Amino acid sequence: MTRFLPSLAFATLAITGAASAATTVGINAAIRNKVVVRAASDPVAHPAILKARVGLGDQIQTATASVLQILLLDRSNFTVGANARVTIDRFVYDPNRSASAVGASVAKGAFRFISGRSIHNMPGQTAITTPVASIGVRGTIFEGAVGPEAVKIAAHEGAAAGGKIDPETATLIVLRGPGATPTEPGGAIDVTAFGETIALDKPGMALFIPGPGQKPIGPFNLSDPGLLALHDLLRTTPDTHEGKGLLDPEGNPIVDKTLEVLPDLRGN
Amino acid sequence: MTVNRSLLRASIGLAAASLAVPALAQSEQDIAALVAESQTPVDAIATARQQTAAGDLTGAAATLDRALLEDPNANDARLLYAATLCRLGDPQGARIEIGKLARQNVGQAMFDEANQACGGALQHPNAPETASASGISGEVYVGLAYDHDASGALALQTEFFNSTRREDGFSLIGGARLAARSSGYASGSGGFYGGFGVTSKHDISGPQLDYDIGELRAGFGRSGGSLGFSVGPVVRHIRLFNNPYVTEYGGQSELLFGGARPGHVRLRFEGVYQNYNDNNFPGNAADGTRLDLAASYETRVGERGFVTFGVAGEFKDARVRNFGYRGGRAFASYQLSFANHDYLSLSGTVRYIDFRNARFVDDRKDTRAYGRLAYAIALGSSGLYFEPALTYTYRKAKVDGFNKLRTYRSPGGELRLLWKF
Repeated sequence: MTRFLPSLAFATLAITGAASAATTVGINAAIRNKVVVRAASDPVAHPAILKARVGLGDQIQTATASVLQILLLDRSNFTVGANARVTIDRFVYDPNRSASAVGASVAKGAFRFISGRSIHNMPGQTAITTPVASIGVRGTIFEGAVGPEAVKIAAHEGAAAGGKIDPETATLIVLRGPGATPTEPGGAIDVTAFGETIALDKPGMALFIPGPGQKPIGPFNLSDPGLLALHDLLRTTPDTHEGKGLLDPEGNPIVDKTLEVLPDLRGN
Repeated sequence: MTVNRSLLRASIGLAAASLAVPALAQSEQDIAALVAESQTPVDAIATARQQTAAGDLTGAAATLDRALLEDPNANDARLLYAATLCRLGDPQGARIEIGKLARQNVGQAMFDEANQACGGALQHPNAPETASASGISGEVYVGLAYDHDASGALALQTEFFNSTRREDGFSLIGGARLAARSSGYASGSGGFYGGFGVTSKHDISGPQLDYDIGELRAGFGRSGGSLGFSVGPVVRHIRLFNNPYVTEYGGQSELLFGGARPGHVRLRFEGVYQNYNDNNFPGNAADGTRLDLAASYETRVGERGFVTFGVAGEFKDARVRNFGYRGGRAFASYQLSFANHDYLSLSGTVRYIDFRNARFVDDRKDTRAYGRLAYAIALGSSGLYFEPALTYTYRKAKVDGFNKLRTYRSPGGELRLLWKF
């Protein structure tokens, strides 16, 4: 069957080259704040539009507190978190066989990947790469960060001690699931860096790769504060205000009401 | 032979391609439909439940993730998200999502579902004795305040042969605010709200600086969806130096645009009649109508910062013309929350008032400002805070005449013990 894969890939990629519709790998499913997309065929960056197609080779760039969720054709979800630059550079999908493979590169920033079911039918073909690591996906949910945020979280976890840290390329990866349950098989990822491959197969397990030419540090269990810091780059938090009150800046009655008395009423 | 095999593979590939074209198009339509079916929190919850029933838990998690990116205040979606994470074997992620709901309105049934999915291991984000689930929220504080030059805060003083008095003061401060909403108010279908607030300051040492303000309000409105509104009556009573000073009664209304989006525009109108105590203003001289129209924009700065800025117009008419005024103010605030529930807040108001001109009365124009910088230290996760703050109050009056009012500058500080619920 594996010998058939190149043909299948050729089939999909042939479609990709033949018509613009076929270059589509997914759509923008949710956008938060400022996200721009630079298409492979057009160097000019355009603001991401909800439900617009995402093409193979499109470079996605997010600003601070910004997030884009891409829903891929195979129903995999790729979330591009704050301050990130990501490219979907390989996508193979055979809907008739329900088989798919995804390749993406994360140059910087936070990211999250939820694999679609069809990835199970093309094992060993899906990989997310960062400047210092390659993450082989075995059907799973994982997230991570590349750059200063990764260093910050790793430092909090005590994983950034020793070794030469490159703040631009340092990578943190954490497996989120699924754990082995009666309804879902356990997920796992294989992280390869500097020739060493480490498997993460339990939710919460994390690895830190300090920079190029550095071996992975870990695995270790990411703490609640560490995970919360990653959440802040990828997810949202409810507003803490409810109308007038908490953030009401008009809190001084001397300034905001006509409270003062005239000189003749109190004297000086 | 090799060439033939390659041709065979290519032929199979092209055949697969011809079959895949409509299938891929169908896939694109399917995912577009999936996104369309999760555009609102209610739809996303329904879609996620269908996916869960079909055994697609990762799909359900992605759907709810999407809904929460679009609407961070979709608390029911967040609760179902937590339940889904537990079903996916991620209780840590579920616990963090539940923790984000502290002091939010949390539906008991949805929380129970999440807690059951997590094996009963979740702690309710609000203390069990609080009534946030039923739409009641508020805060209570007591504390100590220091005001430099406290004597000028309430009494207008003249610059006349250096006769002014400057005296620092310490005061006890206290306040409470309670807001209650019916379930329909928060869900977007419309419902009733009500609330009260009290603010009090009484001197311990230094000059008398006593005031008490009480406010009651109620009405009808809704806060869900992209357009929220409220309208209802308001009554406010102010006591000064332990004597009645003024009673205001009238109405308030508010429009909130983009209630579920990261940025909100809020328009707030208040119109009241001011009835001053005759002992302070004989002949009801200051009685009259006060109108206030404020527009503000509120948005996030980063994931944990929240900023508000706005402008307002003020109009006051009085029986004796020069007690009336026209004015405006600009205000802004910033709050930064930390993972340990501490928060930093900075707020300020600059207000300009042009008192109405009258014959034989000096024209007066005031500029007033107030700023407050506070850092609240969370005492546990029950909503109790210790909040030290620095304050600054400023008032400058330009008077066309001999009696020039003294410019008032008062830095100060506060220590508050605060409970938010």
